[in-house]
Amino acid sequence: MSRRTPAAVGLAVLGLAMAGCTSTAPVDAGAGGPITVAAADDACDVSTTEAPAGTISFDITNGGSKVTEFYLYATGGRIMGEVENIGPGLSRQLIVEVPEGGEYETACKPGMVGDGIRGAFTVTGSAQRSVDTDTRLAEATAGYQRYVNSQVEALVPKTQEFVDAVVAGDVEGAKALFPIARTYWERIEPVAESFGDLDPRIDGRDDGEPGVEFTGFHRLERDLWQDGLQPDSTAIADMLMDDITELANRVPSVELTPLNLANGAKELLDEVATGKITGEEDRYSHTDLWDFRANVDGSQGAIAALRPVIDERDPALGPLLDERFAAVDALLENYRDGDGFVLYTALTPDDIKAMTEAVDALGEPVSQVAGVVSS
Amino acid sequence: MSAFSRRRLLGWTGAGAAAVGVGAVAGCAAAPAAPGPAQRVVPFRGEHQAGIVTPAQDRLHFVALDVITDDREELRALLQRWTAAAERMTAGAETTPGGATGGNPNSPPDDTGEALGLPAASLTLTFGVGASLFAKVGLDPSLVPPGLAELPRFAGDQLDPALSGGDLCIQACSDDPQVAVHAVRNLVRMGFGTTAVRWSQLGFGRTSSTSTSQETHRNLFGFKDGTNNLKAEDPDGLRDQVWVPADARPAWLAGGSYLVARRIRMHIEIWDRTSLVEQEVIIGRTKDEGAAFGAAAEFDPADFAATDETGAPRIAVDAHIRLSSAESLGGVRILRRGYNFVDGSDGQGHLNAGLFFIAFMNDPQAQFVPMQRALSTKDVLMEYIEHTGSAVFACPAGLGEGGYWGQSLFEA
Amino acid sequence: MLGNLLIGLREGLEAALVVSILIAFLVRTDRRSALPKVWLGVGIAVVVSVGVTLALTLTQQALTFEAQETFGGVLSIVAVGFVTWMIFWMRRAGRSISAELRGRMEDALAMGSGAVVLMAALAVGREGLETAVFFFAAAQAAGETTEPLIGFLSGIAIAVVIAYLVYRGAISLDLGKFFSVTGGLLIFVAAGILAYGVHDLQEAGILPGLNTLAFDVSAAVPPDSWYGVLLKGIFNFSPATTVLEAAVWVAYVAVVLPLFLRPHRIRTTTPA
Repeated sequence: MSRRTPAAVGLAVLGLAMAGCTSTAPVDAGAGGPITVAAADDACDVSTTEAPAGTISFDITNGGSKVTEFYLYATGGRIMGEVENIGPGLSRQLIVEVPEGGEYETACKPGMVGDGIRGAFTVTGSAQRSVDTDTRLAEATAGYQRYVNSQVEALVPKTQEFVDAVVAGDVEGAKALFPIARTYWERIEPVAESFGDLDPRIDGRDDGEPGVEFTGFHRLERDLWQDGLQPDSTAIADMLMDDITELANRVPSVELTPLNLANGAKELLDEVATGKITGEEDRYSHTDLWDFRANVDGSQGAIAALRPVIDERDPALGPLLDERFAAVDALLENYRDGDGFVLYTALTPDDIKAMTEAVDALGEPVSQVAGVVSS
Repeated sequence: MSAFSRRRLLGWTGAGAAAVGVGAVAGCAAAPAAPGPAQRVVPFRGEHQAGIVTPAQDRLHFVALDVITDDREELRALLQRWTAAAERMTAGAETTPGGATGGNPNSPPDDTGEALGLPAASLTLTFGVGASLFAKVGLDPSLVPPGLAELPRFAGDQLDPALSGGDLCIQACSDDPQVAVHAVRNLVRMGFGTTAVRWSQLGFGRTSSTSTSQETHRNLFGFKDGTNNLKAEDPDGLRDQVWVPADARPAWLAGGSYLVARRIRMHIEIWDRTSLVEQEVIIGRTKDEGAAFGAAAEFDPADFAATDETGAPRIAVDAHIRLSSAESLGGVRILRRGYNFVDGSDGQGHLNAGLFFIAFMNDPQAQFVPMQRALSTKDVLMEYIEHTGSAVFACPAGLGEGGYWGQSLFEA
Repeated sequence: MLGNLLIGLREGLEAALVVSILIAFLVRTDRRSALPKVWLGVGIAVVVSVGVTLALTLTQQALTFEAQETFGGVLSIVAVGFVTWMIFWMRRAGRSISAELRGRMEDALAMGSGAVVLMAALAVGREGLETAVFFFAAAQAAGETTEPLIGFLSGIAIAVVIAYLVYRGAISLDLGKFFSVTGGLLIFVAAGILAYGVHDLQEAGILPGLNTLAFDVSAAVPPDSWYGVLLKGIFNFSPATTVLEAAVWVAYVAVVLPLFLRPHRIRTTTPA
């Protein structure tokens, strides 16, 4: 034994203590704050019997005359956490890490004996999935797959009509068909974008990237509305048709997951916010509102497919999504013009602000869907 | 154990016994433990809202919002969520526990995360409501406080409707701009679907001191601003001039205050071509010391009766400090809490800069209106400034335990 | 009031008893010079416990439940090792005394100087974290009611008095008895600490069988009764004991007690 012993002991003790150090900064009071437990000689009042999985804090106050203990038990009596020695008049805190959702039990043990005063406690989230849910998720992806297929089945003939008009030199006819063909494309944009080679050829914009040929819908849009038909417009139109046909052949083999659907629903709204509301998408034709409408349709299609799963896991989210989608629908209806919409150039800054607000309001709950379906 | 910000506690020194443990725990403490003023936490709850007589912080992010729902309950629910998040953020915490990185990886994080690891930096969040709110959510017209009456048009006003008004306001002040921006950004995000941003303003370099413990800062004209301001250490002045009295009607605003905001664009390039003596005469103070003409030091009282050897008043009859003084306004004073701003440039080669004027008072019509009337008609300074934005908000009293923003109004 | 007093008494006894026997032993064997080492060990334990607790409080960190229990359990088991070593150290010393070989006792004790510090630190530090955390909770409540704090401190004071009486009683024994009595007492204390440590590890989920009870006499010996507290404080007796706890307790006593009591083989030098 040497003179360094005391220091060694101190270090050993600290090392042990620190090994279990977790950063569990307690939660402030307020919503989602710690759960309070009012313990007494014959009572154990837990302020809420439900909490999300993760770090859960309990503030236990002993208002009785006996020393008490507080436990959180998992099934089978496994202790998740405990605080002993809560003397009369004292408050102690229990911070416990509960990674898995499920049924738990709280217990106060006045007098430190027996099973104590038990109470049911539910931890939500990250629970084991039921077979039932897997079935629902499978149904959701299958349902959305059907939606995508139906859009592709319309996209091919509508693009054919548009391309035929271009090839025939029918500028007015092609102009009328352009936003209609694009509607089917925009509805399934996230799926279409998963084909990294086709998307830029079909839907690329003229962003002046050297070495990238400007082709597809927007190239024909520029010809029709701005430059007049060019010598190579026919070739561009034929190529567009080939690419769309290729897309239609590939779509059935796309493997979709519920997470793809949820993220796709969100991406469609991102597209609206960054491309359509800004008027960047259809900069020559100004038919952005057709694309806006189609993006929202596609987002709604994905959410509708996931709806049974959403309702099962977060009952409040579905109605909120309905309300916000309805608000966007109502807003867009204000800009209807016959079968289509007014041009982007007819919009005032106030109109654009109202659209931005509506899409922000919808985008937030839609962004929550991925977490809900993947939990 | 009460929940403090760990940052405040780390600023606490002493207890030699703790040194052993602190050193050891530093390995798992989540925040760097450098004590200092930046670690300061301003209590969120209290008799009055924080951010009014709180010693003015260095940075501002002010946002005015429009309510886009007519559902009062939806708005009330948002105010409750806002309050919880605001209280956490002012303590230096995330909007929700683990909100930035501790949630479901497939969900967008609750908290946007740019304040992770930053201290509370004296963040205060001050809430107010505008006159336009009441009809929008069906609140009884008798609840509209008299002080929210529309301000008259002042000479020289160039108000932009897009920079004026608003149903609600949140004033975020902090010593760290990122902390203030993070707070506003997260509250705005929580409000999507219920509220929408009408306008917002970033500010820096507080132009007013609201405590005798603070040095007087300078505005972009280079002059000390706020020398003669109402101060937190003057309870009588605050009671008479700032806080709405307990017996006032409507009762929901008792103990609160009115916030008058004016975005004042300064033509700084023109000002900068003005001689020093003219600048000083226009203001009525020396530029260096900030002393009123005829006085020796900054805080010496201005003698508006003093004359020079020719018999002319030492402080010009149209000097800025004379026109805005309590002496010439029948004893009226206000608590100024403004900030400088530079919003880039104006596209014509000038800085889009000026003063974002914020002042608190208990009767705008009797305090701000006569003051601004005098200034807008007589103040030579008007040649160098124009008011481009304007808003008045009623800020309720502070919150007790469990209270939420606007509770006194919604439960009136 | 009483509840907090009994907590203080129990935690205090757990720490003070071993220390008081250690001091009695050093005094009886004229090793007063080693007493500062005892207080150094106690001091280290107190400072570390308070420091860690304060630091955790101040940084808003918390030890996870598992970490807390593992910490207590491991330290308890380490403490048992030291107490066991002390038992045989005393036995050796006792043997030297009865053989009147003072010089040999000097040798035996010389080995133990650093160990004395460790022993004292472990005896106090074992429960130090829990006690410090409790103390903070009581101190925080003092804003509203000082009863818990007063009760807790009174309990500690009573524990110190009891420990002092044990010390007085021990040093009044004649030397031969002293070693057998204190050694025997320590064996049961150590067995209790071992069982207690095992229980902590069971709670942390490191060892199985938390809910397989050997016996439960909580009804007869309520843990919040004064006699329940004394039994717990001195022998770490738990009214609801798991099978594993009981097994290690029995195993420890079954091994150590016979070893301790086995007859001394005194080597006498025959006169030539």
